[in-house]
Amino acid sequence: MNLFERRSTAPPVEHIQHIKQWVNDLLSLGDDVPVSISQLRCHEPDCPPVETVISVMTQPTQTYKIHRSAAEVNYDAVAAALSSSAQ
Amino acid sequence: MVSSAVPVTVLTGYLGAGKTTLLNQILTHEHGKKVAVIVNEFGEVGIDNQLVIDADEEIFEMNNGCICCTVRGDLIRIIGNLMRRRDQFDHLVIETTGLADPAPVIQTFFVDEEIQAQLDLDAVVTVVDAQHVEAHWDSEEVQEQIAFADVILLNKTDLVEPDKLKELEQKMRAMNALVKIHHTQHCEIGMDSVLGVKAFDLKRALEIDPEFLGEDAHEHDDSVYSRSIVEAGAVNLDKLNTWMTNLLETHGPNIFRMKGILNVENEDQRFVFQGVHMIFDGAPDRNWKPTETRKNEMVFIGRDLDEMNLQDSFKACLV
Repeated sequence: MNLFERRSTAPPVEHIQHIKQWVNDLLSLGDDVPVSISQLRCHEPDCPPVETVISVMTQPTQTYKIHRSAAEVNYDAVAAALSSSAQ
Repeated sequence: MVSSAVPVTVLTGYLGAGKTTLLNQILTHEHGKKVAVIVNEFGEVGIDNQLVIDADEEIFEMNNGCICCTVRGDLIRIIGNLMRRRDQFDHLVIETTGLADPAPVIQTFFVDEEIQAQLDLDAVVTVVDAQHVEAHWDSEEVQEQIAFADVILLNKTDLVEPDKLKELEQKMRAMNALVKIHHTQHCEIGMDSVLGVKAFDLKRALEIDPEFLGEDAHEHDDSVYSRSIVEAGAVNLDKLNTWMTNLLETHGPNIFRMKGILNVENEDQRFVFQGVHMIFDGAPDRNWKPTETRKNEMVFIGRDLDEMNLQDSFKACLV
């Protein structure tokens, strides 16, 4: 993980809100379940440089990863990630 | 349409220290700001014509593979809703409970992209009861609330002898070398001292008493203390990245906060950074001035810092 690499462009906030809404809809989450979206530099070998992490705050937190920048995440990518096992 | 980020103040302090007194002052003072507040004890706050929202502290562990941290999930939800009324407020204050660890609140503002885009942490303001704090001094809560503070209001000073106040202040500075301490009665303080502090602004990465920087390690009485590093020379960025990454992965829970300015090999810009546990936030800053002595300065606040071999391991990153 390169802490000193310049942060990639921040994703548009409206798009982040869309991603959260897709997660809510796909998992039929109630309004009381927080969802967080983080865009991170991936540190695993052979991994694209940027990934989007979806954290669904149940206890314990369910985490899903998409190997794209947040701006590139679309509904199908979210659906595919959520249908795989949570990490 | 308002497009700038909302500044956020985190208000913390032990039971009975005066948080609610300060909060009511913020809400009633004529400072020209419209303040929204998220509280845990709804009934005590004046609510006329103010945005006051009740919250339950819901803490979640997040581990995305790179960073492991705790966040306030309820804040993510509440703030998401609150921002739909963005035009109704200029500043957000989040009051924690008396026994709260400030870290989850702070970390919440660094992990979620929606929150990062719309809000900026301004400062952690801790109210300390000068008369009673010593009875709880060794508690984790008090240690954390002092260690994470950017501003401390040492309150109820009218009830404590000056020598004792001086002693308390010295103890707090030994724990937190970065904090600004104000003596108050009834939390009466100029609003500029608690709102618009910009403590998390990277351009203000390291404002510290020069007497503290670079001195030999102070004796410390508390489990939480501060250590500084000052080294001339330039750092190799790859070595620094390896060191810092390992340091945060291994000792992140014991590093409460850190701030620094680095002189990077082959770079004319200073590099400034700050961190909270495993969360690291850094960026290039202004150019070094021709008249400036280029050097590296860092301050760490946490537990067991002397076991981390900070000085020697940083020196190994120099070219």
